[in-house]
Amino acid sequence: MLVNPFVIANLLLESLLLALAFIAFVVSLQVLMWWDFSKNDTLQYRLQKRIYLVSTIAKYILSLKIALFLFFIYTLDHLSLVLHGAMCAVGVVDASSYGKPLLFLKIINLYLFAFWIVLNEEDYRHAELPYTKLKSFLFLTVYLLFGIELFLEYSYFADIDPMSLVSCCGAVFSKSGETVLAALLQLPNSLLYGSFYALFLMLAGAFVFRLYAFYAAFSALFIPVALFTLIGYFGTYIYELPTHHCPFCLLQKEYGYIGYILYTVLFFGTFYGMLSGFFRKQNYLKRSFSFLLIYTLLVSFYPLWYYMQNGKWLY
Amino acid sequence: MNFYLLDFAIASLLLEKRKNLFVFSMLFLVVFLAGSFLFTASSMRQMTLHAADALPEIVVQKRVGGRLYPISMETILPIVEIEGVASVTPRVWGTYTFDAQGTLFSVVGVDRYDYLYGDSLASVRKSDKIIQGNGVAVGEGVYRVLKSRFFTKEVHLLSPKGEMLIMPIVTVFPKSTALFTNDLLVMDVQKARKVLGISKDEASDLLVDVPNPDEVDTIAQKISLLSPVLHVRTKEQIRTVYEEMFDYRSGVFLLLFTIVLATLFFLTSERLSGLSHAQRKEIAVLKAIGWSIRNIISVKFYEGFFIASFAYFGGVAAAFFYVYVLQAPLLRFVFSGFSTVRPPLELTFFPDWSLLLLLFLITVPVYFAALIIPAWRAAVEDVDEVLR
Amino acid sequence: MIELKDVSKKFVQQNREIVALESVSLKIQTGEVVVIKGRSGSGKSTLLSLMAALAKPTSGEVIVQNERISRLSDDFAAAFRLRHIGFIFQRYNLFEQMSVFENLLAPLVPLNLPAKETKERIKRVLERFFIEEKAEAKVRVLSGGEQQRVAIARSLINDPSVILADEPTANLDAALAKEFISVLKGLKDKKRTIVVATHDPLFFNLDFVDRVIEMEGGRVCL
Repeated sequence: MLVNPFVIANLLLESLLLALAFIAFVVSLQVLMWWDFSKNDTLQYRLQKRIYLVSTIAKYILSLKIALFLFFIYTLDHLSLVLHGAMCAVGVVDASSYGKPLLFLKIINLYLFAFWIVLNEEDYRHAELPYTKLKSFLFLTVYLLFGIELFLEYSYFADIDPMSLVSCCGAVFSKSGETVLAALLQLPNSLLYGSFYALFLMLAGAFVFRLYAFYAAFSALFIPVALFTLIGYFGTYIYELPTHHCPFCLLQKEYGYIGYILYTVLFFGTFYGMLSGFFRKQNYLKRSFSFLLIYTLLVSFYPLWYYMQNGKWLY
Repeated sequence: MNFYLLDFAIASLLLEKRKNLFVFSMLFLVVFLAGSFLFTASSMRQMTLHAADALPEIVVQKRVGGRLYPISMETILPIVEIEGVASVTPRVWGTYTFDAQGTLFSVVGVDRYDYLYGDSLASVRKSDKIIQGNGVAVGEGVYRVLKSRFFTKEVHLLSPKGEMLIMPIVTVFPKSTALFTNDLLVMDVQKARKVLGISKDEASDLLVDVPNPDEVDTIAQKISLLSPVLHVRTKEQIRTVYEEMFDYRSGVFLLLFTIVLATLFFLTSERLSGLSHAQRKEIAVLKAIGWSIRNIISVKFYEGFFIASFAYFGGVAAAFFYVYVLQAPLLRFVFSGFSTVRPPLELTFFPDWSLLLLLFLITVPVYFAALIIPAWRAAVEDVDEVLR
Repeated sequence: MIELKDVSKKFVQQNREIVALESVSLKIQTGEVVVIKGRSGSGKSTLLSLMAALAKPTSGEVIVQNERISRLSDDFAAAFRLRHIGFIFQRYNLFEQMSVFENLLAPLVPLNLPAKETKERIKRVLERFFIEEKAEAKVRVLSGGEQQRVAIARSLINDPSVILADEPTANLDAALAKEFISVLKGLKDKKRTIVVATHDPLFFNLDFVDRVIEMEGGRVCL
């Protein structure tokens, strides 16, 4: 077990959030069972008041969860100072078999919570609250996933042995090896950035012609493509080292914490992109495209800057 | 962001001065408490890490079956021959069990050329009295124990061979250095060998000086390949141990602090729950003139935001003052129990912004969580009864 | 126009069902001034809160300005009040420890208008009711007449089409009551719909009152 102020703070806050979420969970259950906006009896009256409790709690949870996610990443980064052999957060994630599923679930939950908040806002935009049942159902799902996330987080931190040696990112993200990732990293660079820009162009096309369904699908696809190309190609320019393939080192001070900016922009861009498929609103489409454009410009900046400075490419 | 809502929130805060003042002081106190602890811990951690910079790059010990043994002087030669090593220095130190109760003293052997214990023993090094007079310098704590046995002039120590060594006490370390000299017995290296049972061709450990930091890991590896009994620790590893230790302390503190946070949660929640007649009326009127439930919940959160920022920044400022200006009276003792890591004497400020984030995250969200249910309760309060 | 169709309102209080209104049907035309009289507990206030979408009927329909307000979520009900309803309470119900400006700001907060327009609107009503110099004064130090004008200014600041007054003259001396009635008359001339719930006989014989409706035990007496 790791006893560390950052770890304890993470667990403490997540537990607090889950406890609050439980209240909202109970109300959501009640809504699913009894909600009927056409009726006006005491029960409905009470439920109509309680849904405001749910949305207040959910908003509180989401705003804190965004902060906590960044804090979690920061914690992993901090732990790399403590664990032997770790250079950055990669080794820390790898220090327990719970690490990867936990990180994955955290990201999924972030998307789900954010989606819940938007659905909630849309609900309030209609006089007869058409999405109340849907959002209650969604909340039950999110609550369960959140519970699993917390369980994984406890297990993860309990599982890490501070004395054991962990691997550094050089080992995890190397081109040699049998993993899928290694195979992807072996792809020629032109294919990596080619597919990235091709996908961005398709997104731009879907944006211009307001093809909501396509845009949403491309945004979803944009998440893995952006991550792989970041690890395989753009990241190497940020580090200015052709062999450095790591999605975590860019969160460190040496690189101006650029990772936090990149990942946040990527999150909101893809989130609003997928949302536009659901609600078909120009507003979301525009927001999404602006974020993704910023992301693309940011990652493109590094190779160009390198070229301007050195007069040649890294490879 | 609705600035009118903020404006209104401030005006409405003033309606319930006493209640809000109470909530504010509680949060302030909690931020101050946690802040003082974290700042003190962080400052000490930074200073120890700083001190660790003065450590030699590599320490070599002999370890068999997990236990430490004196290391043979002959080991020095192959280490010195490794490329990149500037020098190797043997050190003699260890613990001495003074009585049947298991009182432990730290025995440190010094000689004229000794420069490897850092500045902490500077005062000792200056007085060659120890070596010339075969005397011993003792820490405050050691002196107290000795005095209770009526030894005020000299120390009687039993070597492992049963030989009784009697050495005059030439100096007692000043009280101000007690934090790290408390259990020390400093004597000539030859005497120390006798007390600790370390023969002339052995040492407690070897310090290896490597000028180029990039070579440290490779050299450490090469040394450990010399013999399976050699245990090699680099400065980096020692730093990691220090980091861990402070993390552990702060972690345990946070666990205990959970109780304080739970108290904060329940007291705040309880305090905010009871709505006065004036507040009920205010909310009813606001609703009648067009405010929605969500507007009222927002205004409650804006109120909370206002209180929280003042309490947080105030608490941080107070903790800063307490730790760095007043030098954390009382709290220091929590840390003075360290044996491996000796606390420094003066707490100086090291900027560590992540600490402010940590402090924020463990206090302010708890307060807001306590706010949610009372705010909602107030906002959904039935209006029609209050209207009349 | 305000229309109530077969409206009933029931509460459950300490496990007892209380009937506040029982099948009330009512139509009030735009520009009409209606006085609802009745003892306290006769259902007057409940009727007003239904018209303002502050409460929902247990059964029946309430339609105000062509909006079915008996079936609105809270956000929409609040927005409706903001646009259409001006409330005047018994004893003014001002925020006594806040300034006049802050009191007038309250109905504008949910609109979140640009600062310039907010100030403009407040200035306009301050001028209209001759209380400009008192803008920064706390309400509790104002005279009764000034307080009354602030209360009226607050209810009219969003230019509502329906004005609901709940026992507006209950604690007023004769002079202030008269002043209030002249304000009502002015609003009548501007074609506002006005509903006054009161048991003050002063209102029963006014020339500009179109109708007096009597209530008893949650029913309208015919």
